[in-house]
Amino acid sequence: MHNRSLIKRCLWTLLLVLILAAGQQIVLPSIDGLAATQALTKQGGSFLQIFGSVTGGRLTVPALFSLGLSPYMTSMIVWSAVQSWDLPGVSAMSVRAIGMVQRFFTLIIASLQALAMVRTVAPALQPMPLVLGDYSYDMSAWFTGIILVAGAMFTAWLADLNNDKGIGSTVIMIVPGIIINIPGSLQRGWGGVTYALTPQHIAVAAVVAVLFTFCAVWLYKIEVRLPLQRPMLESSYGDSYIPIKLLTAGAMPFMFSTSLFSLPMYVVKGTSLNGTPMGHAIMQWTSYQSWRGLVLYAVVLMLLGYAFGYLNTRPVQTAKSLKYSSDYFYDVAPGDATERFLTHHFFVICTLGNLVEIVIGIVPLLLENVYPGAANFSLFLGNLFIIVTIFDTIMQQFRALRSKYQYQLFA
Amino acid sequence: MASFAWKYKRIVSKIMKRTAALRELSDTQLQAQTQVLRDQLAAGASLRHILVEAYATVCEADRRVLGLQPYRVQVLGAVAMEYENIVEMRTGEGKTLTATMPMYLHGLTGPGNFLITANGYLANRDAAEMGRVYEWLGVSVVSGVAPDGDEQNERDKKAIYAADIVYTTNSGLGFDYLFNNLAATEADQYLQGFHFALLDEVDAILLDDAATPLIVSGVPRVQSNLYGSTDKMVKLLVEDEDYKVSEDKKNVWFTEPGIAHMQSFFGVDDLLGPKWADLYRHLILALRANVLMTAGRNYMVTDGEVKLLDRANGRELPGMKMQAEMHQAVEAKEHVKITQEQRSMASVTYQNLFRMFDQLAGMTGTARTDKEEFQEIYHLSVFQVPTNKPTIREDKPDRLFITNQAKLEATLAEVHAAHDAGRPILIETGSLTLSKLYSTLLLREHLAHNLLNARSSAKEARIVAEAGQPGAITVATSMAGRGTDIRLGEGVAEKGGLLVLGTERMDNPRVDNQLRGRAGRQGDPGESRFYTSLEDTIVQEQAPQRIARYRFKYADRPKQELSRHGRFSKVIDHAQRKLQASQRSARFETLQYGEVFRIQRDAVYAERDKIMAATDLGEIIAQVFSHSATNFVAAHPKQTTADVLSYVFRYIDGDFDTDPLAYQRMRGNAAPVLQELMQERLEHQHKQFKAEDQWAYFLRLALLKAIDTSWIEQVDNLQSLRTITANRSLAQHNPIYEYQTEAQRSFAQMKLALYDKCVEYLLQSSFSWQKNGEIQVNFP
Repeated sequence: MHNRSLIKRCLWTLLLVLILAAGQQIVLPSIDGLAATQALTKQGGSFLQIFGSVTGGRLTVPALFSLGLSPYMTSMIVWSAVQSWDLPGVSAMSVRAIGMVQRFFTLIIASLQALAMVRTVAPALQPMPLVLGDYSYDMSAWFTGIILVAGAMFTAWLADLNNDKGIGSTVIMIVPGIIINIPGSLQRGWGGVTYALTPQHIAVAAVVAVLFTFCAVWLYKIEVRLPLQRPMLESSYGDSYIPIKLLTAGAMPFMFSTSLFSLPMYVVKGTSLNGTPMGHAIMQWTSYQSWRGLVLYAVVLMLLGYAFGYLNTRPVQTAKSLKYSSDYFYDVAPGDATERFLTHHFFVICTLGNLVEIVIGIVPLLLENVYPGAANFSLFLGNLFIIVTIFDTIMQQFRALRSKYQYQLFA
Repeated sequence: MASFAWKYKRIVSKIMKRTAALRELSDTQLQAQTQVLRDQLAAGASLRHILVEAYATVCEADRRVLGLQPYRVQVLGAVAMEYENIVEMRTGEGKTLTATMPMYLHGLTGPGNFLITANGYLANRDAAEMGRVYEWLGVSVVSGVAPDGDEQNERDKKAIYAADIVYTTNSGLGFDYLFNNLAATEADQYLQGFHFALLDEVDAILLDDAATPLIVSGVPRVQSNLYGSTDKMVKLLVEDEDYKVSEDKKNVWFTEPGIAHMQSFFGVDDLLGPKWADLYRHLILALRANVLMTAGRNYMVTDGEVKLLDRANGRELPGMKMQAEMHQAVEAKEHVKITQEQRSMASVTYQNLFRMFDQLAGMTGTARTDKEEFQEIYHLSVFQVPTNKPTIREDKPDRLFITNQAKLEATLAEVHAAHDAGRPILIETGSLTLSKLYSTLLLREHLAHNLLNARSSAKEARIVAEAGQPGAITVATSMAGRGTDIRLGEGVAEKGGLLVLGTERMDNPRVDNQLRGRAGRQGDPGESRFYTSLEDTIVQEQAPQRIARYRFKYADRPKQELSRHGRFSKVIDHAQRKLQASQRSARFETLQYGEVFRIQRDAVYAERDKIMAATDLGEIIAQVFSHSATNFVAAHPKQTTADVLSYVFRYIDGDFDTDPLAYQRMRGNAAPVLQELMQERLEHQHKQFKAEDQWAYFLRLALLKAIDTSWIEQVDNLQSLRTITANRSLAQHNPIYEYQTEAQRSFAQMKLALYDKCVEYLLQSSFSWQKNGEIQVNFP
């Protein structure tokens, strides 16, 4: 009785996730599945494909919800970046207007990703002629594209619905996609290395996964709490602090590092650079198998760590809002001094956190020479880490909801 | 909800037909309808089932008793109200009469039905006028507000809330709810459930004032003596050098040189350190009081007291004080006597008060601009009722000026022109200060006028009612005189009717529309126009910086009026929209955070009610003893004799006779022994009482007092937790979840403290006997 709302929320989420997972399995009727798989294996490097992958899209055989939540997530990230600039026009927007803008971003990103996908699987499209007298036009590309975009928008709606009625806000909707892809990604990695899913390998992966999850949960909980003084507050109850997580950027670098790192490779493959010495050098620097590649990958992780960490921590905005509310840190003057104080802490903590993330991403790649197949664990652990961060959010919500009705004085 | 209109209209037709049929009945037969309907309800009929018959009965009774037959549109409005709608009816369309229908219908069910009016004057007026109808029909009705000049405390609340229908105000009901839950015995409680509330001017209550907490304060805090010296310090500081103010004039902060100045002034080296935190806090309070608070706008000083003003209508907010010692800082600034800072004992927001009702309905002149919010928070739709006669009022486009002065001069020109033509003029201003200023301007021009200073709503209503006479000039703040119609005097309609002149646009278009709606009542002619400038409050606070720069640059330009189609044409609309958006999200936030507060409050009040109703408190007391003892043991895993003794001395028995035997028995197993001691001590207390009923009364009082004291603490804690958790989002924690978790934790802590407090009050209280057999309890 007490937790009826909690159970109801869990059931809602289960339903919505099932709908999403089912929709991701339904291959569009306008696609020849076999031909599509072939087309996908020899992907080229058109700009649209690069764009699709940079914005978190994955190239798979087009199904109803193939684009999944990535257009929505990307638009949310873009939006939070826009918001962090603190533009006057943006801060004045109403909730409704913000919702409209986010939908609009989602629509644009979904359209581009759908275009990329349709272009890639073009050979697999089943002809759908539209005959107007003598003139006939093949509708299949349009049909596929529009369905994909509609699927992405529908997924965004599902995610919002889950935020409203379910548990785990919007992000839980990317969990099924990640979990379904884990075995495949472990097997194939980034290509190049194959880690056959033998019982023995699976057992190793399971043990690694359990150990890593424990570490990741622990690491993700670490935060530095800068004690804050709040002169305008009457009661002294509760700890007042500004928290900065060790892993400031969360799992964001892992979500985007792969696509960003592969970007130059795509460019080379798709342009006249292919085969030139310059192209060759670029390929060298972006290969997971060369030391140059590893260094660059580490740098990419680091930069993404700073970027997303900054979006999360917002030292400048925080300093401003502290100044406005008369809150302060001991021995730090409001305004510029506070901003320097916060930015300094952010850089120190974020750098440490980035090093941890680099270890997660790079160590498996280094171990490849000792244990063949280890490289594929880089992607695997990254995915696990994404799931850990999502479940952390869910646990917070769970605790909050569970506690909400547990109020009795004498019992 | 146009799709429902046909459904409502069909019901209206039935009611109209039935009303005509009821004309045939004798008075006695019509009066007997009430009993017939009540019998049907008792037999299980729903309210909607008997709606047609009940509404028809009231319509006919209205005609016979008041001589007023509700129009078709009024019946339509009344029907829509019953179907969970906020009904939008223009001023002058007879909302008061419309209300008789749903109020009578719900009054049939017995007590717990309220009509909430905008002010006490209207509650008394309408309860007296419309009350004649209900009483004629045999449904009891009363005003919940004391008549003008009487003390609110002297009302017979039991009698009031026993009536089927209560006409009252939102604040009256809110405070009665809070005091009802501070009662010591069931006999002191008076509320009989919250079944139905019909809110007049619903937008003002559920939107404008929604997040305003009603607070009962009582327990004084420790007072500091730093207000005076910090105020003197701050008055010596220089703006932009020692401190800075944000563009919107809502925030202020010290600069580094300013802090250095203050350090040398006070001779301290570390003002921002822990040692001087209290001094620094008072400096911040003094700075805010001196820079952000303006006399005449935020507060007023009368009779040596600082009184808060309602921003919207400039009305005094009686009994309200600024929180967190701001009030004391302002008192220091104004050199009046510094009052005691008090802690709140109970609080509720209007939002939460009205969400407690089983059914809500509302009526107002303006609601559709905020349709979504009503739907989301209160599950009420907005239904627009057409006017009985078409509105022919002319709403002229705004005129925009650069400076305030140019704007005011232009308004004066229009006032002169209209006055010369003999038209009545209603001048609406944004604040009390501005209406006083405008009044001075009119005096300078030798124009006789009335100034609504929002002191007494009854006097206000009289003045507003006169505002339609030929040549009348009335200056008012935006909310003044709501609910009173302006009827046009003789010959005024031919001259163009009432002219409403807004001297600035208000916080949102809804209020603007309300002001326009003062003219053109019931198909009368009328005219409205707003005068705006780039110096208006809303522009200063909400518009972008470039507007301020423009204003500054062209302040002396000869041509002050700006084009209606120029680049500034949308400035006011944008500023309003921005303010609206921030107010709306503030209300949503209050609601989300308020949810936990509400749940905790309900739990505490439910427990209170249980204790008040319980015949035997033995079980609860045994539980309290066991909890307190086990918690003590759990909190002291390696307890020493000293720990145990201090616990016993503090909570159980101050004169405890150290008994070596007891310690031995306590080794490793203190809880049961402590409980034994408690029971013994309780017996000892019991023996002092001669009468059992007095003993039971004492037990109840002790437990309730313990609950109330702990709850006061918790109210404080929840308040600060809200601020504290807001920053947690920086580490990807959802602030609301954090708040809920922390609130749960603090509730658990409160429970622990509560058990100890119960034990202390039960066992450590002393008693003194009066000669007449009464007992006085002295709590520790």
